[in-house]
Amino acid sequence: MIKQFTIIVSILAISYMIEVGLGLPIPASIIGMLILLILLLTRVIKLEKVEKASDVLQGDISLFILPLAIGIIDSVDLFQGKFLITILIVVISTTVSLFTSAFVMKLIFNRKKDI
Amino acid sequence: MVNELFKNPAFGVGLTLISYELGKYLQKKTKIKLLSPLITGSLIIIGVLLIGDIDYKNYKLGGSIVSFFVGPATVSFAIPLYKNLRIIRENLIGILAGILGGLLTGLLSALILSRIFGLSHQIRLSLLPKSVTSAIGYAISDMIGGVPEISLVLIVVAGVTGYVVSEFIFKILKIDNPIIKGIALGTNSHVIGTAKAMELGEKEGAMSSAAITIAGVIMVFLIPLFIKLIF
Repeated sequence: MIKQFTIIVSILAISYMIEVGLGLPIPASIIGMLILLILLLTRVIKLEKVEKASDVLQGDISLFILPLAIGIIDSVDLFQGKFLITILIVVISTTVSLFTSAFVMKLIFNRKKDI
Repeated sequence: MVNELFKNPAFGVGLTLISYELGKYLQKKTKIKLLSPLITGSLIIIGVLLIGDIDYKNYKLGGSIVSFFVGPATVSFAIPLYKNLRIIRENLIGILAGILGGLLTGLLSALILSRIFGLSHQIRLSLLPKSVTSAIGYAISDMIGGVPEISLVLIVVAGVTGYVVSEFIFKILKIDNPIIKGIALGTNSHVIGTAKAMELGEKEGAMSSAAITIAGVIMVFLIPLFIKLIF
């Protein structure tokens, strides 16, 4: 397990060097993800070498995010009393976009079937 | 004086772990899937800090150790994508259209509604990554000058919304293709939507996890472009 974490964290460390060194406007973690994907595709790293650590990391991602969410204490004022409206906007926007996603794919997948 | 007692990283790490476990326990006991430990856990932590009059800075000593793992977790998002690459390749155009359609509709509707209701500039920016999985959404919000903590809260709301409305939407549109269900859920409601997708079936779940990653990467580029052109 430690070996698996070593691979993932090393990739992340290199990604930070790439982000800062090249001044890329992409978060290091995303650069790292793309690097890992390339390494998997080119079979430099085998899936089994990172799969366990990945399951652990993704299974409890809410735990890792939790401390970041606490920062909201300092930001509540920014809503200027429009907290509920903001929530409502997210609910409407998500419903509309979910509908669009499903609708667009339905159109394309059905047409493929007809051909 | 009291704050000296909490000036060590073990306090923040411990409080985070306990609150998370409590949150998970509550979710299991009440059988309310929507009660994400991210919501209950943060309420417990905030409660403890407020009641104990403990400095946020002291909590952060340990909190930042736990949140370090968000980075490695994001790197590991490559794995669900890699595992499902074959199905994605075979249905590439449909899947990309579904993802882009959802993302653009989400961005546009959020922008239009927040203008109508006169939200502040900062909140409007923080709204944009709402459909993106928390780890990536936090980074995007930070990158574009939003308030990442606010984005996190809105991300949870978007997840819960998709969890609740998705089955209704699939029914109206008469959709039974597991690829469509999974991609729609992962794109618009990230991890919480994926929980719903996994309930619907294994293939739905796999597609949803892959969609989280694809949609997240697309948004890293799409949101800055959207801000430049339209915002």
